[in-house]
Amino acid sequence: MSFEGDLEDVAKGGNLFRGSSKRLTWLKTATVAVALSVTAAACGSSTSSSSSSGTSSGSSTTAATNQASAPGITATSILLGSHQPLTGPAAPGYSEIAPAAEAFFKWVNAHGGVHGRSITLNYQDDAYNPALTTQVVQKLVLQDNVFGIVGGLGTPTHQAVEPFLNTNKIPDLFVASGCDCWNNPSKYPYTYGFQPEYTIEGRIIGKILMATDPTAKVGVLYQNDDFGGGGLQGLQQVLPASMIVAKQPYDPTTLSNGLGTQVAALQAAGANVVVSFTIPAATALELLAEAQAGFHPTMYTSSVSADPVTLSGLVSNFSKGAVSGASAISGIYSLAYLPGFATPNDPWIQLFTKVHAQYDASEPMDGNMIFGMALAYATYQALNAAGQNPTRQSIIAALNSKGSSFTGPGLVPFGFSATNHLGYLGAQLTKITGTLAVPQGPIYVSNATGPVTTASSVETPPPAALAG
Amino acid sequence: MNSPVSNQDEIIVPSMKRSKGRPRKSKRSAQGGNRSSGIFGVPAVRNGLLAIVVIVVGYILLGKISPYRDLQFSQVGVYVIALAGLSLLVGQSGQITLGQGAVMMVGAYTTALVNKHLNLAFPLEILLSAIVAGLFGILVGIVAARLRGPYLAGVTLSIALALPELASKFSSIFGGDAGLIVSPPNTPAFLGATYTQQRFMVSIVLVVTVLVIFGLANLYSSRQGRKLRAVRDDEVSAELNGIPLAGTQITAFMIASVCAGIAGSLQAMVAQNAGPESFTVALSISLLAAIVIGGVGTLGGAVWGGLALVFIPQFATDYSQRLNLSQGVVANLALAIYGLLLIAVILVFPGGVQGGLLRLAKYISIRFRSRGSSEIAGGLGK
Amino acid sequence: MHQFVNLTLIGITTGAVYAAVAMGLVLIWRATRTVNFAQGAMATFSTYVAVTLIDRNVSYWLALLAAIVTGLIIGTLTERLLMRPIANTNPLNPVIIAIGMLIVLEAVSGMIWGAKYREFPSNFSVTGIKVGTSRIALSAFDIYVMVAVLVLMVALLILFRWTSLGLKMRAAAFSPEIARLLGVRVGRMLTLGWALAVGMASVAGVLAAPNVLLYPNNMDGVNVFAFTAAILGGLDSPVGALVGGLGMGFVVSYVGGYLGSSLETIGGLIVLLIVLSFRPQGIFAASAARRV
Repeated sequence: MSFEGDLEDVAKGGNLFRGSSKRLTWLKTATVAVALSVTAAACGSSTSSSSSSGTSSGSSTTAATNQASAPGITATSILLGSHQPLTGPAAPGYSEIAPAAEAFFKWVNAHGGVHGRSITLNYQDDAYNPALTTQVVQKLVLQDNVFGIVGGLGTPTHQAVEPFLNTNKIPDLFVASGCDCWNNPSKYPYTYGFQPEYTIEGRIIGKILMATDPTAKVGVLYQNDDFGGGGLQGLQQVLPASMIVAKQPYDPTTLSNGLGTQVAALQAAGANVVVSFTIPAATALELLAEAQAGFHPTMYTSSVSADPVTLSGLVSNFSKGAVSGASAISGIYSLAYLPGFATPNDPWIQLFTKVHAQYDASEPMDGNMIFGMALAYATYQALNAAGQNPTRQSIIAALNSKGSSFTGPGLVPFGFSATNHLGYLGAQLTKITGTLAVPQGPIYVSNATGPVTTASSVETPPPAALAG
Repeated sequence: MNSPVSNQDEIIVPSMKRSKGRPRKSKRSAQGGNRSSGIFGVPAVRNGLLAIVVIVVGYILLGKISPYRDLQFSQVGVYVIALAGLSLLVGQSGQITLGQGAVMMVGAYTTALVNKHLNLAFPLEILLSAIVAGLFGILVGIVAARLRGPYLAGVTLSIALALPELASKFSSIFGGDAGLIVSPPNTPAFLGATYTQQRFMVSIVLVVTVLVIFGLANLYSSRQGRKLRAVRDDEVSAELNGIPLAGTQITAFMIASVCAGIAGSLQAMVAQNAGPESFTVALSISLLAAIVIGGVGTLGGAVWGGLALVFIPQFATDYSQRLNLSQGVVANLALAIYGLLLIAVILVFPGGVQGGLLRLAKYISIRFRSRGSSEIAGGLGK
Repeated sequence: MHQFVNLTLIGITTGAVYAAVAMGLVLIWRATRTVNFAQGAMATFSTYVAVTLIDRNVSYWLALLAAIVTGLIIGTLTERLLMRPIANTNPLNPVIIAIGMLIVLEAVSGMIWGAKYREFPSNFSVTGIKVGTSRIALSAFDIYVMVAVLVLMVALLILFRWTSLGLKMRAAAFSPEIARLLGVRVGRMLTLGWALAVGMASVAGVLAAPNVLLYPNNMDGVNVFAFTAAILGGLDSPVGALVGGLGMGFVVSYVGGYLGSSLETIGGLIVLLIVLSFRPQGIFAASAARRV
C-alpha cells in the first residue's frame, strides 16, 4: 500500500501546482513527476503484490479517496486523447477504431469505471497528415490537458509526436501501428506499442512457409512504407533469398490505379505463393487483379490485410457469375492475435458484440472494431494497475512491472517491461473459410529479434466486473 | 487571359503603368502615393522600423498566450512565409504553381538532413534550406519559363506528386514514409526553466517571418519588382523594353522557392519531423487557395492566408464539436465548413480579404474626403 | 510477353477512365477557361447516388442514368451559383471555388455514406477473358469501359463538329462578345458546358468505381492523372484528352509493371516534361501563338 501512498503525495503536489499559473501547470507537474519517478519505480518493483492480471475491479478498492492526481484525472473522471484519420484517404476502415474504443469505455463507465472514475476519450482528426497530428496532439496535451494519448494511429503521423510526448512525459500508450519505432524505451520511455511488430509478422509467415512449403516460389506485394517494408524485412530474415522470386511495392496514395501492374509482374515471375503486406482495400484490389489475370497463387497476408468481414464486403463482385461472394476470399491464410468471429462462443467476442450493439451499432461489426475494443481494454488494465490515484509516472511504472502479465482477448502476451515496449508478441495462422478466419495450428511468438517459437493461447475471459 | 491575375489588384500594387518609361528613378516612382518626406520616405527605412515594431510588439503579445497557441502561431508564421513567396510568384510575376508545398518539403528535408548529419546552429540550418530550395526553384523556373497557365500548373502539380514519392523511394537517405526526426533548436538556458520550447520556437518564427516580409516588401518596390509586374502585365511590351522574360520569371520562381525553403525548414523544426506525408499535393493546393482568399500579389494577403489556414479549420472543428454529433460526422462537418468558407470568401471578396479591406478603406476614405477631412484619408486610403 | 500484353491492356483500361475525366476537364476549360479540380469529387458524389439506388435494387443502367443526371445538376448549379458571380474577377478565383467544392463534396460524401471502402457492383464479369490456355487482363467489364468511353468521345465529337449547338458552345467559349452579338445565349452555353462536363465525369466515376472501390476520396488520384492527361493532350482538344488519357494509362502501367509502382508519378512527370518541352501547350494545341 506504500506504493499508493506515495502516489497520493504526488497527487497532492500536482494539485497544488494546478492552482497556480495555469499555463505552466503541465511543466511543473512534469518536473515533480520526474523527481518522484525514481521513488515510484523503486516502489513499483517491490510492491507488485496486486492482481497479476491487472483486472482488479474498481469497486474493490474504495478504502482511500479519489484525488485529482494528475492532469486529466479528477476524482470522478479520466480524460484520454487520441489522433485518428477520420477524413481523407486513410479514413476508410480506420475511422471505426476510435468509436469502438470509445464504446468500450462507455461500457466500462457503466460498469463502475476505473476506481470509480469514468473514462472519456477525446479523439481528434488528423487526416493522416503528420503536420496536423502535431497540432491536434499538442492541443490535446497543452490545452485540453489529457492524461495521456492512447491508440494514436499511423506510423508517420505518430512518429511526428513521439518526441514531443516523451519530452513532456505524457503516457503514449498502445500506438495503433506495428512499427518497430515504438519499442525504444531508453529514448522514448513513455511510448508503448500494441499490435505485433510488422517484422514479427513477416518472420512468422516466413517460418510457416519454410515448414509447409519450402520449395515455394514466393512473390511479395507490399505497401511501400514501414508497414510493408517491415513485413518484407521480417520475411527476408527467414526465407532464403532464392525463395523470393518477386517483390512488388504499391503506393497507398495511387491505389486508384489498381494493382494490375504489380500482379502482372508477380505472375510473370512465376510466383505460386503471394505474401501480401497490404491494407484491406489493397488486398481486395489485388484479388480483383488476380481474378482478371487468371492468377491463383496461395495467398498469405498480414493481420492488417485480411479482416474477412471487411474483405468479403469488397470482393463479392469479383466472382460475378462464378460462385458466391465469399469464395473470392476463401483459402487466404492470414495472421490474427485477437479472437475473431470464427469462434462466436469466445467470451470476448460475445462481450464486444454486446458493447457494439449497445454503444456503436451504426456500422456492422468488423475486425477494426475488435481491434479498437481490445485496445480500450488494455488501456483499462493499465489504468487499473496504475493505482487508485494514477499519475503519469505510476501508469508507466505499472506497465513496466505488470504489463507483460496483462491478459485478456489477446492470444499472445504483451512484451511490456522496463526494457521492452513491444505490444503483442506474435500471432496465430488463420485460414479464411467462407467469411470466417478459422484458426490453424499453433500460436507463434517472438521477440523483436529472437527466434519464432510456438506457444499456446494466453487468452483469459473478461473480468467479472465488466460482464453482463 | 494569359496571366492568372487580372488587373484588378492594381489598387493594391502600384501599377506598372505609372513607372513604365522611367525605370531609373526606381525608389520614388514606386512609391506612387507616398506623401511623407525625409528619411521616413525611404521605403527600406520605413519598412525596417515597422519590422522592428512588429517584432517587439509581437514578442510581447506572444508571451501572454499558452504553449498551444504558441504552436499555432508558429504554424501561422510558417504558412505566412510560404504564402508571401507564393504571392510574389502568382501575383507579381503572373505564374501559377501547385508545387509550393513540394518546395517546402525540399527545405524541410534539408534542415532534417543537416540536423541529422552536421552539428550546425539553427540559423545556418534555415539558411542552407533557403539556398537548396532556391537552387531547386531555379531548376523549376527553367522548366517553367516556357509554360503558361494550366500547363505550368500541371507540371508543378506533377512535381508536388512525384517529390514525396522520391522520399519514400530512397528511404535510406530520407527515412522513407515516416520521414526524419528533427531535434528543434535548444531553448537557451538563460531564458530560464519556465521558458517553454514552444515559446522559443514561435519567437524564432516571428523574427524570421518579419525578416522575410521585410525583404519582400523592399523587393516589391524595387526595380526587380517592377520587372516582374511588367512581365506579368504584358510579356511582349516588357520584352520590347529590354526586360529578359525567362530570366525574370526564373528569378520569381527562385524567390518564391527561397521563401518556401525557409518555411519548410521552420515547419520541420516546429513539427520536429520532416516526412513525405506532411507535404502532399493537398498542402500545395491549400497554399494556393489560401493566397487567393488572402489576396494574391500582396503581403497582407499572405498574413490573412496564414491565419486562415490555421484558424479556420480550428474554428470549424470547435464549432462542429459543440453539436453533439458522432466524431466521424464532426470531422467531415468541419471539413465541409472549411470548404464553404473558402467559397464564401471568394464570392464576397473576389480580390481576396486584403483586396476587400483595401477597397473598404478606400470607400471610407472617399466618404471622409467628401466631408472635408482629407488628412485621415491620406493615411488610410493609399 | 504475357506480362507485356497484360500491362498494355491494363494501360488501356486505366487510360480510358483518365480520358473520360480529362474530357470533362477539357469541356470546362473550353467553356469557361477554368480547371475544375472538383471534377473527381463531383464524380464520386454521383457514383454514391448510383450505388445507393443499386442497393435499393434499381438496375445498373437506371443507376448510371441517375448518376449522369446528378452530374448534370451539380454542373449546372456550380456554374450558375458559384462560377458566374465571379466570372470577370481574378482568373484564379474559379479554381479556388472548385477546390472549395472538392473539400465540401468529399466531406458531404463522408457524412452521408461514411468513411469506408465499399465495392461498386459491375454489370459485367470482371474475370479476365481466356485466350488459349491462359487468361489475359481484359474482362468483359473492361471492354464495356472502353466501349463506353469511346461512345462518349464520338458523341461529343459529333456534338462539337456537326451540330449548331456545338458550334454555339465553341463560339461562346472562344469569343463570348462576338457570339453574343450573333445572338448566341452565351451564359446558357457556358452552363451547358459545365453540365455536360460533370455528367461526363459522373460516367467516368461509375466506370472507374468497380476497379478502384468507392470511398469519399476515391477519385483524387484519378483526377490528378486525368489533369496531367489533359495537359499532355492539350486542354483545348477533346482528341487530346483521349490521347493524353491513354498515354498516361500506358506510362503508369509500363512504369509500374517494369520499374516499380513507386516510380509511376515520377514517370508521369518525366513524360509530361518531355512532351511540354516540345509542345508547351500540349500535343494537340490548336496553335502555338501566344496571346498578347
